[in-house]
Amino acid sequence: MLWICLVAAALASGGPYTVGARSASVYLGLEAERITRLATSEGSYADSVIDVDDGIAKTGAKAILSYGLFDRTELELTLPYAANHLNRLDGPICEALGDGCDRTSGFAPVQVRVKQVVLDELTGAPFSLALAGEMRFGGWTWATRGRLTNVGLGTFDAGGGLGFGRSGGLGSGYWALSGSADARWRTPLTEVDGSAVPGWETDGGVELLFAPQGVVAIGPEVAWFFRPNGTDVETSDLSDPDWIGALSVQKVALGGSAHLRARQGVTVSAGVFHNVWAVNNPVDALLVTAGVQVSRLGAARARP
Amino acid sequence: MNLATGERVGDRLRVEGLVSEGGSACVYRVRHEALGVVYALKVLTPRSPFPAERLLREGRIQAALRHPCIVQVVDVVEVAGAQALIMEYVDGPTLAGLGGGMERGVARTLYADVLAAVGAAHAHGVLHRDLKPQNILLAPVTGGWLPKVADFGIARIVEAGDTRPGVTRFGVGMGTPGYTSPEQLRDAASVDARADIYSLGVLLFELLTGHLPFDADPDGPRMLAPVSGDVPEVDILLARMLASDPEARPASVAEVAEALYADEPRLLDIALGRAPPLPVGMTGLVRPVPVDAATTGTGGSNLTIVPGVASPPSSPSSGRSVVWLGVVGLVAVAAVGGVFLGPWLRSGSAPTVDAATPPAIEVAEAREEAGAAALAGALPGAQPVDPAAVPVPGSAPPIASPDATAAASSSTAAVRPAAGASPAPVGTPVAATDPVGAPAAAVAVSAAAPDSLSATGAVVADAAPAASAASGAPEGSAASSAVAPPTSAPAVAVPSGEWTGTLGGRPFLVRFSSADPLEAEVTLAFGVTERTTRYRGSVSADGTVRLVSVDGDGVLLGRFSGGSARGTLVVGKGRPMDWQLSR
Repeated sequence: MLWICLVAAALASGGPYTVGARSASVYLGLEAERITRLATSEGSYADSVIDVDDGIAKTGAKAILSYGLFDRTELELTLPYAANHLNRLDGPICEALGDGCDRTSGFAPVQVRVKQVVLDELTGAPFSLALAGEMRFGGWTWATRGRLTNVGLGTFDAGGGLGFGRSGGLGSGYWALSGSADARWRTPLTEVDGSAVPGWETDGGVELLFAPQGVVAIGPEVAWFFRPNGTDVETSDLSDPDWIGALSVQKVALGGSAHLRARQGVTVSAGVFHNVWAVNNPVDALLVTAGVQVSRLGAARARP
Repeated sequence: MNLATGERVGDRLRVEGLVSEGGSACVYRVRHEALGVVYALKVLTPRSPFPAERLLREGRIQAALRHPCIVQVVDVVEVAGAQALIMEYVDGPTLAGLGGGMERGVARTLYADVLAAVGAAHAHGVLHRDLKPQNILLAPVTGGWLPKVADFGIARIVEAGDTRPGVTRFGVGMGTPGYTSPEQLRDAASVDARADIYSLGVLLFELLTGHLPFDADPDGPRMLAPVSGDVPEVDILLARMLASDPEARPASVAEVAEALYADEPRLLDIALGRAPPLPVGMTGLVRPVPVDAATTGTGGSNLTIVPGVASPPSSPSSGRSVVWLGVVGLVAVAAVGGVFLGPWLRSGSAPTVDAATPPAIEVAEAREEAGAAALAGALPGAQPVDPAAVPVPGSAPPIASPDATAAASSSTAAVRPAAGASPAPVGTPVAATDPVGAPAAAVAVSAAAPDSLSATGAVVADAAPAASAASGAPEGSAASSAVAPPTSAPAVAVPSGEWTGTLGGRPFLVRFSSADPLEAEVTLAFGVTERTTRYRGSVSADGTVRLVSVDGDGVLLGRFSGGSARGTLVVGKGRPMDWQLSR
């Protein structure tokens, strides 16, 4: 579902750093998430929730290719794949949704992002800062956008944001603080009270890593997603295929990640995230990620 | 326009002799009969492709700039119906005649004077646009020699908000390849002070090393070894000044001065114009350079200035009779030659204006003929131009000698032998070598103008013989003087393979991908993101690896010995960061 992609996106492209001119890196990751309750707009977390029967199980994979157009300019292509299903199809929710509970799988929206570093801590700036522009397209998810198991809302989105970060020495290793904040415009699906929905939305995240020995880095991370304008899940017409896109959403997830620099150019990563605040979104979502990033592909092509 | 000795010019000037003659202008020594003062008279030749207005414009600009380190223009006279400039007569050589590689202290002092002059011009809104050793004269003054910037022939006056093309047409490159910024070679009309900053960077590099900073390379010019030894500040400054992107360069002469003379307040004051220029003594100004006069084809005397003794002037050489063969040769020659040996070796005298070296403006006109598009095409990625790659109508194809090719191809071993270049006959291309004498690249010159040819980097200051551009020049060139004698310098180990370690705690990796030219990918990790940047450079005779990032923004200095290495990395204006690596 949509929120899977958002959290993962914050993991992959957060921060202001780029791979360098004519260099490239590839991240291949797996994700798994389980959701059992949705929070409504009347409360959060525990007060006002909707049980999703035995829950939604979501699995996915993601490939992210980063290529350095210039030393401080990066092109990033994200290609996600997701397969979502409900654990129980004869519960109250699925009886109400009908085929909205059918298993859904396929490529989620593809994202292209260009990042330009405008402040570089190596050159004396107090922190690194990058500006980014992005486009996202998921037209092929249009037909299943109304399912609880959707892998995207079928829209074209465009936006931009910034990445920021700073790193330094820590013992014989390093620390790194990085984050991003993005906002995007989405193609309207419908109107609610005269306003186009989904409206604009914003997401981002901040990650702090400690690597005292330089090999293993571990640290906390927070990610958020907000879509200020929209409807509440309790008042939504579940027969409307755009009911999910029309939701007003708030979500904050906390978690942590670990990265093992297995050998030069190869990093194995794992992360765990849990929603700590949600409105019209899963309140108990638990997301687990694991992936491998291979860097310096451009260097490997250098002449001997 | 030929003026005979003794001929009268105007009411009070009498010609005392021809100082220099070039394709577009002649310079005569004239004496004011009433005052007894000697001046230089610059007259356009009949075959000059340039309008008289440009000469007058040059005169107006130079006359407006009152600075002790700028050659003064005092009047304009008419000579046989043509305009001519009366200028201050400078009875000394040009910097091009000194051979480069002068003592560091002398070079820094001299450079401060030059900065003061250029800074004064910039303060008046004048961009020189053709700063090079040939256009910096050394005037004998009490206590030594004072540099004087000359030849504002393609200077541009810039006023706030001024976008007028003036004399220079948009889209037309001007300048001297090797010294001129990439953006000026593409479009001279739109440059700003940073174009002069680039040329000043080339000049500084050459003053300190004796050769130009960039070497020809199939993948684009690469910067040769930086210059500063264990002190990276100068290398960092040079990397910034020589960045192909103007935005990466210091924005002003003052910024250059403050970076270069931060620890020398006296020179800083001079460079900033807060103190009068300081003459440089002859001691340390130049190192004697043995040149086989027979191979120069000019008959001129060698430049051999004994420390503490001024070089005596000699009579004008027979080289005057050499005719400019045309813009075809000039482009190539201006690119690689005329730097060290040209006018001085030919005249052995005191050229007031370096008329022997192809004037930049002629180069520019040649490029106009070649077409701005062709010129731009020769400058991919705004890299500093490879002179041999600039297409000029009628030019001969580059020549690559088998020797050069073999030398370049055989130098990929981890340990590079100290190659001693063998003497080559006149006109035979030779392999260019880096300062440690190792083959660096085969450089060929397509054609040459006999009145100006000299091979860039031909003059070798000391036991680090830097051979230079190969030359397919006709007889009379100084190409053979570029050949370094066999040397017994010890072999220098060239690092190879992957080296890993840390920089400020961050994972840091240097992977050498090529030994000749020396290239490396430098990777620095920011969290889980790794940034890899390509660097190029060389190994100096003392084993120091000096690499500059391809964008000119980073400088890596270090020593790789055995299984460990340590050094410093500087990026942009950042502070030097120490690193340690192991294999």
